Amino acid sequence: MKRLQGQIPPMVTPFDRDGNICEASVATLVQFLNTKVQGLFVCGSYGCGPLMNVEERKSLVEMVSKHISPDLQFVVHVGTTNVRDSIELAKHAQDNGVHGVASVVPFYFHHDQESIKRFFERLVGAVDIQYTSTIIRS
Amino acid sequence: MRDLGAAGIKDSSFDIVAFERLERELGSSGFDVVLGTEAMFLSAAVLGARAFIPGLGNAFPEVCNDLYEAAISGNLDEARRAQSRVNALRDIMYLAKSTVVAVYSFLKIRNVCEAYPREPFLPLGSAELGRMTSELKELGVM
Repeated sequence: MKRLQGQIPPMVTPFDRDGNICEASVATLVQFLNTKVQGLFVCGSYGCGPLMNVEERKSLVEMVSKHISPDLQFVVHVGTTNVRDSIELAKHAQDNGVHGVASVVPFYFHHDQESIKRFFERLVGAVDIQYTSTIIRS
Repeated sequence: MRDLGAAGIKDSSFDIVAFERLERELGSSGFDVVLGTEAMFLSAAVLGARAFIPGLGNAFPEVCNDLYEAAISGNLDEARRAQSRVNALRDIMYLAKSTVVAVYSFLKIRNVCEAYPREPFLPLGSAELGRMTSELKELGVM
């Protein structure tokens, strides 16, 4: 597996005043970062991924994929409360050319270790691209 | 996670002891341990980190790059200065009481793009933006 290298900022998602994703600002921000960083981590905490629904998250990934430099590592966070949505997001990310997907443990409910292990087994098995788990601040 | 087929882990614990343990127990097997903050990259780089996920990098990527290059190349004097600069910027981020909101504010102050956070996050008011701007100028990054 290839290691991630360099600065990969967790890109914030630009919204307009009404809370809709602003595609023009997404393009501007990605183009600003394209020559200054080595990758982008999209839909994480800074990206407000958990504040968006599945369709919005897919839409953002498509916007970023249109503008990101092919030289950059492109990682998408697909963590949700449930296996189905996370797998759907992971497959969609793979179809849009990302290099890796990442996920926190399923949130909101408290799950035992076996359930969390099963969650990650399902996600890892759903895609052929690199998979990185994430630990959030304890 | 490694045995499940995951390639790595992003550690945002802000705990350098925990990071070292992950590197020691998993790093040598090729499992990628990535730092989820810019706040302690110098220490993490010394321990083996080769990638980080810095929120500050949205608005000040050049400052984070200075830290990365100095730390990876082993220029410890320069890396210490760069880490101090990064952490001084993080102190300014905390004026927003949310580092997420702070990044939107930095992007506005630097005229990178027009971007608002989504509720329940709220954008900063003009007084708070003014204070942030003053502190950024005082730090010499504006």
